[in-house]
This record gives sequence, C-alpha cells and structure tokens, in this order.
Amino acid sequence: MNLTPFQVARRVGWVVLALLAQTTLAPRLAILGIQPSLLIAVMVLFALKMGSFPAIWTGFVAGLVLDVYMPGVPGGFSLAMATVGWLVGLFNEQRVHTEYFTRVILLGVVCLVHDTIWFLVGRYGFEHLSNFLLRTSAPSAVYTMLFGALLFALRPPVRTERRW
Amino acid sequence: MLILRWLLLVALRGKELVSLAMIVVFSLWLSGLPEPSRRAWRSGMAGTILFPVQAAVDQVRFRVGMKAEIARLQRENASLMAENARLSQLERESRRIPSYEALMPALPSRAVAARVVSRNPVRLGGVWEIDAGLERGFQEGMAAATPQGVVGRILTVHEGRSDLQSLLDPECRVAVLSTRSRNPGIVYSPDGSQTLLEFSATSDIRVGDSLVSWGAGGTFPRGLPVGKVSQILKTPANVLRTARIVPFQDPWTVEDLVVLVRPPVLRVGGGLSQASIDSVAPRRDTTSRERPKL
Repeated sequence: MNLTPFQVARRVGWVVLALLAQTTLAPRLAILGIQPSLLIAVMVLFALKMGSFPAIWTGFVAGLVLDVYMPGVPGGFSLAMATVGWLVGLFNEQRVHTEYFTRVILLGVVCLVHDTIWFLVGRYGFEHLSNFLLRTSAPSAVYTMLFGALLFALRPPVRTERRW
Repeated sequence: MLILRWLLLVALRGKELVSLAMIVVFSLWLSGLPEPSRRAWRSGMAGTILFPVQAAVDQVRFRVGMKAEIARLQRENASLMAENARLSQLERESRRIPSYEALMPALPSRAVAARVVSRNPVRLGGVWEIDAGLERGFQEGMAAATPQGVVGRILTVHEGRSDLQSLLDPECRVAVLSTRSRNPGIVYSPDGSQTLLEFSATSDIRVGDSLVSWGAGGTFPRGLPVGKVSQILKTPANVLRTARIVPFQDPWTVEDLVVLVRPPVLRVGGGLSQASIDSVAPRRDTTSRERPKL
C-alpha cells in the first residue's frame, strides 16, 4: 500500500482524536454506566485500512497512554489494543473484503477480546471474568457496535478488489 | 551466525508477530511490577508523554482563545475609538460654545451657527461648504465669523447648504481699518496661500497693527477682528503699498462659524443685493420675485 506521509499522519491523527474523545467525550455518552469504546471503533477502522503492523504499534501507543491515564494495573490496555490491532489487521481491506455487517460484528468481537485481555492482565480474578463480560463488556460492545455502525457507514472501504 | 541470520529473516518476515510478542512481554512485565514501581512508571510516563502533550494542547487552546479574544478586543476597540472620536468632537464643540456665547452680544445682528462640511480644492480651499442654507434664512453676501475673527461671506445659498467664500479666495476683498491709526486698507489673498493688505502709501500702517473690518460695502459689519500686520512688503509703486497679514482666524482650522443674518447692501461680485432693492422699491406687487432692471 503506497500512502503519502500526510495520509498516514491523517489516519494516525484520527486515532489520537479518538483517544482524546475516549477520555473526554465517552464518559458523557454513558448510558447506565455503560460507555462506548470510541477508540476501539476507530482503531478497527484504522487496522482495516492500514494492516496489522501499523495497527499493532498504533494500538500499543494508544493503549500505553490509556495505561498511564487510567487507574488500575498498567499494561492491560497496551496489550489489549495491540492485540486488537493485530487481529483486525488480518482483515486488511487490501487483502480481504469485509462487508459492512461483517465489520460491525468484527468490532463487537474485538471489543470482547479487548476487555478479556484487559481483565486478565489486570489480574482481577479469572472467576469473575464471565460476570464482567456479561454485565459490563457485552453491553459496552453493543453500544460500541452502534457507534461503529455509524462510523463504518461514513467511512466505507475505498477499494473492494483483492490484491494477493 | 547462520542461526542469527535465520532469526533475523524470521523476524523480518513475521514482523507483526515479533512486534506482538515484544508487546506481550512488555505488558506482562509492566503489569507484574510492584505498586511503587507502577506508580513511578506512571508518573514518569505522565511527565514525559502526557504533560507535554497536554501542554501542547493547552497551548493550541490558549492560542485559539487568544485569537478570539484579540478579535473581540479589536471589535471593542473600534467601537470605543468611534465613541471616543464622537465624544472628542462634542468636547471640542462644547469648549467653543462659551466663546461663541461671548461673541453673540457684540454682533450687530442675529447670528446663526453652521458647520464647515468641506473645502473646495479647486478654489485652493477658498470656497467652503457649510451645512446650513435657505432654511436658516441665509442669503448671498452675509458675513461669516468665528470668535477669533472674520472668515468670509456667503457666496451661494441652497436648501440645507451654502457655499462660503473665505478670506483665502482670490476674489474676496475685505475693507479694514487699523485699530491704532484708524487708516483703511483692503485685505485680499492673491493666490490662496497668503493674505495681504493693500493700503495707500500715505496711510499709517505698521507691523503689529491689528486690523478690524471697516464696514464699507455693507457685507462685513464694522469692528470684526480680521488680522495682524506681520510684514510691510517693499513695492515699487508709489501710490499703493502692500503688507503681509496673519489672519486672527486661521482659515484652515475653522470647523464651525456663525453667519450674521443681516441682508448685505451689495451683492457678491457687485450690484445691490435683493434685500436692499426690496427695501427701497415701491411695494406694488409684493409677490413678484422679478428683479428690477438697474
């Protein structure tokens, strides 16, 4: 993929904006304490467009910032976001064509993966994982999917043909 | 060596996996740190990454805010400057009012105030436009003055405005008297840039003499201050002599004036004025505006 530095900077800029929105705007969008993960939605879009390698490192840096910013055990966000970048990057739109609904479902899945990794790295107790996923992570994933549905509709894939 | 090359090739080929592995190791190491080390790591990261970013964001926000603030202050400044100019104008006018009030009783007739609107550049500034005309009872030939002295006479009158012929106009002549010797002379401006006094070689006019209007011709009433003799010029003629005078009222600084609402005896440019004709003509037909042939 041949991208100009400006295009790369613009896409990374979206992630930075999402990071800022996650820490400032997302708490205001909370419904019954459930927040959407704006950062994951934008990261998924970023990874779909850029591929695994940039997505891993962008996700890692964004997660690292969240680790510094958020209370709790550090390292959880950076590993979870890097993993999300890697996983979604496998569906890079230059290699694999993913439909709109596939993308929305993929977003929901990676939300759950993200939360699972974060929970495990944070050592909050394996026995509470299912409860956490069911009561906190799943509603948040649904909320994020709604947000992502809107985002993906606004930013459809640029090209649909496979290049392998 | 071969093993190292193989590892490098694998790393380059599977750079995503290598990156992910590095991140996994780092994250697990980070999460396994004891609490004091975590706190130290957090404060270090916040100091090196978050605070500079936050400072940069604050700087941007500050600059954007400053820009808006500057625009607001500029608007405010413009309106305050306009208000200041208006108040300054009012203050200047109100400062001149007492001098006009003092002038009024000394004038031989009713006087009406007017403002100078513009100066005709074609006539070297000698003809001005003032903001009052027929509706105030102005007529051609009426004298105009300020508390400092004579400035000119009405040349033409219109509804709402009048043209005023100032002392700088080459066609304006004012008969004057020296207040010291009571000898007469004629004040005029040959080119709009200087004001001269023409007087008889036998007249006793000296440098420093103050000149007042004589009243001859009926346009300017007697006794209005006109100027001061500043220099007697050497002229070859034996009959008339010329002196340079400084008008008491600088013609270029006049902003407002009073017009003496008094019918002049002579028209500007010669001949009797309409008011004079009306006063002496038999009143057979008062509605007729035809001028009798002289």
